[in-house]
Amino acid sequence: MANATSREITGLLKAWSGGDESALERLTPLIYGELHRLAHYYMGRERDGLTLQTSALINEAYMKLVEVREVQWQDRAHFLGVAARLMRRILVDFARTRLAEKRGGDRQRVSLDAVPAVSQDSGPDMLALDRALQALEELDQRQSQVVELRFFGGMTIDETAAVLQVSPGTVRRDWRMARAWLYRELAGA
Amino acid sequence: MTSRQRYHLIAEIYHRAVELGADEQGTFLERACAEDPGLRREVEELISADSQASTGFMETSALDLVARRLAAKNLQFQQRSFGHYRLLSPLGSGGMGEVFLAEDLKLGRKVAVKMLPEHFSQDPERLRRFELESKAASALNDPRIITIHEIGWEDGRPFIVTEFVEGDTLRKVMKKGAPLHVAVGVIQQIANALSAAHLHGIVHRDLKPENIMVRPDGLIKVLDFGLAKLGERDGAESGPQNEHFKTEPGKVVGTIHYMSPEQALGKPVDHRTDIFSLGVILYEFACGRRPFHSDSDAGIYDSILNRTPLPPSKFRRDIPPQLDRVIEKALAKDPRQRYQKISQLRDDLDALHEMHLWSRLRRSAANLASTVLRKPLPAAALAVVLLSAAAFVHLTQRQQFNPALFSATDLAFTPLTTQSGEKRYPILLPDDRGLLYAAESDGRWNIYLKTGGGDPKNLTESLDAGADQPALSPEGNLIAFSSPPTGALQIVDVASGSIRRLSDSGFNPAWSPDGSEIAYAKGYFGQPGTRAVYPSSLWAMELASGRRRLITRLDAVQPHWSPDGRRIAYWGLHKGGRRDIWTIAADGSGEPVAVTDDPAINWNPVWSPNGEFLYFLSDRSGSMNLWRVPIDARTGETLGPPESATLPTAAGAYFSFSQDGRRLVYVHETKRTGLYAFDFDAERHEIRGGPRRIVGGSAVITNPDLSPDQQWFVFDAIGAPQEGLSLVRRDGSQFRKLTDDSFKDRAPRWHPEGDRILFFSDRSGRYELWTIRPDGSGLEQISATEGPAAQVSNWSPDGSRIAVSRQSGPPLLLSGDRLKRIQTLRPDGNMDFPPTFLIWSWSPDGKRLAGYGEGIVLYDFEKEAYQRQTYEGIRPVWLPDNRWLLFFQEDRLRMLDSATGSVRDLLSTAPMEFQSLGISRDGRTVFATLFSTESEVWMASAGLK
Repeated sequence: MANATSREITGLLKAWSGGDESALERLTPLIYGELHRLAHYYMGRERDGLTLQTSALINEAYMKLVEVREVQWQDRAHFLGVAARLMRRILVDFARTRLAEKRGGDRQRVSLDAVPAVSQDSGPDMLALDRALQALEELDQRQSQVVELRFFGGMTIDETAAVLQVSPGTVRRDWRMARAWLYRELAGA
Repeated sequence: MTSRQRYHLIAEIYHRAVELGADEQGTFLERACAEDPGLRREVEELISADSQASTGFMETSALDLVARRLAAKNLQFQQRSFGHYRLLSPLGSGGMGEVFLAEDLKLGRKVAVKMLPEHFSQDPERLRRFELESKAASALNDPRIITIHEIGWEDGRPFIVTEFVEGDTLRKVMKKGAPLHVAVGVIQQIANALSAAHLHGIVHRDLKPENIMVRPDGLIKVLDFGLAKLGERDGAESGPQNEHFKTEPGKVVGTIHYMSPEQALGKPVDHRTDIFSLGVILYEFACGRRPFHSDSDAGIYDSILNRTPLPPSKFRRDIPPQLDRVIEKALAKDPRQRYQKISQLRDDLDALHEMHLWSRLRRSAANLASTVLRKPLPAAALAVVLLSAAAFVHLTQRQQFNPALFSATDLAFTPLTTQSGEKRYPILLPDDRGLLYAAESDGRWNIYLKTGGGDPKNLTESLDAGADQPALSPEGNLIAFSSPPTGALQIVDVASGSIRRLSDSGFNPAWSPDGSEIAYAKGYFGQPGTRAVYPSSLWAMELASGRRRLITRLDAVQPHWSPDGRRIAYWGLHKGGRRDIWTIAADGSGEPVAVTDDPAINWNPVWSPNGEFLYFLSDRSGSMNLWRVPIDARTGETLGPPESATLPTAAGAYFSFSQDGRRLVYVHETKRTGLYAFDFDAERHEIRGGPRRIVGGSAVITNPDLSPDQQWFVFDAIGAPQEGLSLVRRDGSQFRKLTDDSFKDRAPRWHPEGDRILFFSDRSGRYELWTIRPDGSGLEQISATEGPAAQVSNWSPDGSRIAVSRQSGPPLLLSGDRLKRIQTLRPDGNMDFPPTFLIWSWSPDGKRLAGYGEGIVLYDFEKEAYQRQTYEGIRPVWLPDNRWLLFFQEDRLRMLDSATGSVRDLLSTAPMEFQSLGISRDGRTVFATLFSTESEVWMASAGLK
């Protein structure tokens, strides 16, 4: 992705965090584009029966969307927080509208033998997760931030720690607890 | 303790507990939660959740998960979509895989399925590029390029689903031999198809007689665009930067005779390689020999690279030197010495026409039909919709949509409706809140709202008459619509469902952009090809006051208001039957300004949301598709010629834009019609047998008439790709075209002596009567009428007179020497004469006419008076007793007793509907054209990729 584009994204993120909702409309297609590119890749792999080696690909996708490593930010932590929040909003929205995942309790459980292997993701229903995360935010804001940065923002433990200005150990503990709590919330939903 | 404090307490205990071993954990928890068993339960639940969650829960990031789910969904879709093809029989096989005739169970049509060899799938990137390229070629929507329905995977093998083309390969046609002008005509058609492709940067690369199909009607179809590149085995060259065709001797799939020198050398190729290959085909077709031949591959390569073939005229004496020169130039070894554009080659071939070298050259397509096997109407006459996984259909032509409207270069196509039945007028609610459309169920139209995944909701269920032609108010809260058949204009509130009546009669309501007025037409139209009422004036009503004002008295239907509110676009009839689009100032001042002025059917004008273009539907390319013209919304002046904005459908109808202009919804129609015969007992008034299908397919067949000797049907056929007259024997054999040019020839009627066929046609610029002999000779205009143009007309039983229907007003009677005497069969005032009255049959005793206009009406020559028989039904035909008539209403065949006016049902053909009706002179064979329509609403949206 060209520098101009990452600058543009940066600018849009700034605008969005400043309250400009129209910036979201322009950011969304970029992320949808990445989603389709990744999905297409998965489909190719799936057909060829190859194992998935995608961490580099995913990292690259995040890099493209949030070119933080090349941008000097006065408030880097704030920026990363905004980026993760944006990803959360767009991905949850995508899951609802494009993947027809439903809101609330009657979430769709995908039967593993009925669908191709790419979906063996044991991942949560995005909409249910989004709601549980809102509840968690009421109980422990930092834990919910850790989840947002890690799961939606794609950040490592260390990056998350740097953003939140806490130790990596704290992030690890927060993550473990939050994950267990969310799992219980979703399983009992 | 607040819930937050309690959570922190749980967290504290939890963190310490998980760091302990299992046995220590119990002791610790017992102590820590001694006074609160609830606390202990919560912590234990979390510990248990932790061990389950640690096996992968939220391990992958959200982006990754969503992408995987999208992939799974797409794969599922593709696998399922293969499931609706049933392979019927093998059509052939070769280096590029096996081809099967298959049935598309979903759309009930025949398709060809090509299974590619497994090794083709080894390079997904290359396959993807092939997909893009072949889809791009298919999306050109050129009738001579095969339509690709789908590309997918089954069991690890890629497959391609295309329209099924009946006919022979050009190889087979060449083997049989053909006159020179036929050969040149075929090459011209191929050149035209290639020209369209080259213009969009698409090169075929593997042109050969095996890749070209010739249909029984003479139309050619070029197959396998881009497949040659896919077939290359050299995986190392698969990067996107590589556009070369690397060919190594011995590794080539299939024949090498048509290869260009640059291909033979493995050099880069461009569109000029196709020019060379076409030159080889032309040479071989013209003189029956290949220009480059040898016993060995090495010899052929040598010949392609180094030898100049003898001019074709050496082998065939009727080849003119001009053709030698065309071939020589196409076969130049150096691409720079060749024709630089395929259109230049085609122009040179055209020039041969101009020089009248072969006077019959222009009829080559028709003549070609006689050299190809004769079969009933080709089933694949109309290409139909792409069925592929929605997100992976791409249109690569950047210029096709207004960048201001569609910001992304790629468009995705998504089907929005799946239930059966006909649909019209789809409209997207703002913010993707839902889809509105009119749909037919049990013979009644209603307006439905579809939101999310649920069943569509019928918004007009409370109306007995049903509802059609919805139009959404600018604010998105009201829907104006019209209730058939009288066209009561009404408004329904989307939220409350309350309905308000505006006017007793008005069709196709259109909102002004400020929502204060509704424009509407006085006349109804169901299909653009058949207009029931003419002319239809255009009106506007102010909603607040109910005040109406006239905008134009000229024929106008289907209005659409420009975004700035200044002009209204509409379409109408003029010049005796042409359908063109105009705009007029919304205040009715000034003259209408023409947007189109050509013989194509132009309709459904829709302003782009930014007002810079007028989009419309037109069959100018041979099938109904989307076009647009840049326009000055202030003056209505067009700013350029119509441009194609191709949708992946060859039968598009009724489209609209979303308010933000980023999406477009349209109806894809699949119509099937057939000519059927029934055995009839004219004394007992009983259908004894049938229906037997005589011919049929996706071309629209209508207005059949049986010859006096009862051996031949003549009928008109629309959509293959032109509208003209055809003949077929009553057993379905010996189908042939009688007229085959750009004019519309309609409603043929045999002369009682069987030597002439009467029809009406726009050949003179307006609809007049013509006759032609059954062998295709003697085409002659026999009427010169004034006023409303001629329509379906009938010979008197003795063949001396003709009753002429007209677009409006009472019919005419032609009689006397050379039918020069014209009189009007005036209504006597006893009856409200319908605005449009069409005569359908003449009683066998010659005393009465039967016709229809708002029901069945008879004319009595002795009384010089009309008499209304019914208020419904169309196309009445007389039985031999001069008393009873047959007619139909949609799917019902009915009988009418002209002595008493009583009506009874004979049979229903549901779900097929009648389109036309006739009876043999002996009354023993009833024949009819029947049709069925399936339609789906599709959405084109931008910004997916």
